[in-house]
Amino acid sequence: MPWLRRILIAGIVALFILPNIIIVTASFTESEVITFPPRGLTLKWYPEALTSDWFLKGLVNSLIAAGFCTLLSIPVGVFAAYALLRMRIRFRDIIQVYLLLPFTVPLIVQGVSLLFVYARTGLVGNILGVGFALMEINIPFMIWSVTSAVNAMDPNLENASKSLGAEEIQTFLYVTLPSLMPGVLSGALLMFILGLNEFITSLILVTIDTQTLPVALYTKIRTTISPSIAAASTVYILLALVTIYVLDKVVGLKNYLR
Amino acid sequence: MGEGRVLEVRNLVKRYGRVVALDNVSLSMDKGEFVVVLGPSGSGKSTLLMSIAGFVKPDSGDIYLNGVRINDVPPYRRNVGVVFQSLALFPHMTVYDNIAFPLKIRKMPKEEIKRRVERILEIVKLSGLERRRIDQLSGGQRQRVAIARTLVFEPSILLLDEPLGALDRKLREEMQVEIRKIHERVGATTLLVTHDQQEAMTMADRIVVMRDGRIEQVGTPEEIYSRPRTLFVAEFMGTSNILKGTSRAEAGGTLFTAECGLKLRLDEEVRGDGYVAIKAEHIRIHRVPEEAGSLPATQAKVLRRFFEGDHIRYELDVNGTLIKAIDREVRRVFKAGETVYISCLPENVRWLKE
Ligand SMILES: Nc1ncnc2c1ncn2[C@@H]1O[C@H](COP(=O)(O)OP(=O)(O)OP(=O)(O)O)[C@@H](O)[C@H]1O
Ligand SMILES: [Mg+2]
Repeated sequence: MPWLRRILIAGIVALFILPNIIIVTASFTESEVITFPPRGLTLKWYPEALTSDWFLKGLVNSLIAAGFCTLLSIPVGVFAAYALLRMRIRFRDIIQVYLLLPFTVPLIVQGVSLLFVYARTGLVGNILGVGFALMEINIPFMIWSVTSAVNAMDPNLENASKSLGAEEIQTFLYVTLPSLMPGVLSGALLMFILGLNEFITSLILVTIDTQTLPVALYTKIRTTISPSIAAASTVYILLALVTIYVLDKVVGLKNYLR
Repeated sequence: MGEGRVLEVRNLVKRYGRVVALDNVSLSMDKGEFVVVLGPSGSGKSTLLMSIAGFVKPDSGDIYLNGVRINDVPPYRRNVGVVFQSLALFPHMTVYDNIAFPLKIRKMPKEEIKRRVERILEIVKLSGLERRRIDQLSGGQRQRVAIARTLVFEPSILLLDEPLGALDRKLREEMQVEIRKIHERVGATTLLVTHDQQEAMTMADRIVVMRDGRIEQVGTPEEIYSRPRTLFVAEFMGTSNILKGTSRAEAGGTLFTAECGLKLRLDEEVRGDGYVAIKAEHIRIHRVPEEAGSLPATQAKVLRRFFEGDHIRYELDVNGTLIKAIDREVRRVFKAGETVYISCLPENVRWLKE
């Protein structure tokens, strides 16, 4: 029954992207408040959103925080995953459970605990602190991603490298790391997108100056329902799509996300 | 230690808990020799190879390579080439980069690397494929890349751990010949591990049969096949007739009486219970017992016969025990159901230790 399957697929697709389509179309309205279906057709909200202070600042903050979180997550994730699987480490099981802890503790609690620590260490109001928080709450994704790459790796690959004359460090750099690259890249991609989108913990940790885009949008929508918010959201969606597209072009995601 | 002695393994012992993977193994190899370690699964073949490569640390015993004790030398300084069963080719590198890897690590100049890689590609017949990624190669081609990658840095010894295990029968046989040819061209001292006796027979200058971590017998393929010394080797090499019985002294020498009643003369002086092995082509079939001359002849019944070109294969029954025979005298034929007499020359009866 091909038609049934088509309807099903169309249904699933609609379910996922319909809200996005609504917000995108709403951004073209001429009215002063968000309306759907849009009244008239204009692009005027885009320049307004894109040049507004709250949007630009939020975007820059988000990019910095997500970028920093991704950069941090690479060494942390690679080391944690590799060490846990390949080295003889005491309390391995406990550490493994602990690394999954961020998922079991509600984000709001995480945010509060971090706020407490940051307040003590003067990190509140530092955007890198937000980046660190993003890394901490999402690191299991990176570890899982790298772990699956380590597991998929032929354990003899490193032995082969050594028998060919490469010392431990050379082997790690030239053979282990490149073999784990697919896992590292898909993990990094996840970390970046999750970092870009994270809201709850960020909400607790940011100040006016370090508002990330989701927090800025949220703050904005509470005071106004201007279509410029829809425009900003559209740009936001595009940003995520572009990230995926660029990474796909650069590293060939199809090969890696299998 | 001899002049051309490349490898010398002395009294190697390796235990894993209660399992003794290597039980006092000693082995030596001369330059250019092709030795095959043959044994069933779990007999310690890989453990032996990985000890030589440096990935397994033996509990005791010594390993010498070109006269130098290498027990405490890390794998990357041993100059030992290993081809793993999984091949362990680097998936993120091209054929060229895989083969150039050991040379780059040794910081060889670029032109020298290029020259060497091209030469080795020619030897393994892969010229023209240097830009391919590993996943764009066939099984046989991957095999060649793995061999080229280990030969290119001219290791003191080449170790191959069941390198053909993953290939289908036909390709496997092709690669056996191919590896032999490469060996003849390069002259690398080679130690190959397999559990396939046919493969060992085809490739080896010398076969080392292993069982439960111990070396059971060492010899040329011909020796191992024709003169198995133990029951295990005879069974493993697929000797046609293995009979249990008793030997005792007799006027003419040693007489072996099998449980089935088959009587055989031995030219070894052995006594007591044990086994003998006789190849099918060494069983002689007679119409009348007198044809056996002074040797004992035992009555048997022809069960089946198969014409196989230049010989006839018989299945005979001696009091309920199946005896396999091959007769090259195709002009003389015995019929199924016929009563015959069988004998065997003493030099063709192998007394087996258990
Ligand atoms: N890392 C290890 N830990 C525990 N036991 C091991 C280990 N490696 C090998 N053994 C044991 O040592 C014995 C010899 O193993 P080995 O791998 O050398 O056999 P093999 O002859 O290569 O067998 P196969 O033909 O199956 O590869 C086996 O009983 C095996 O279970
Ligand atoms: Mg093995």
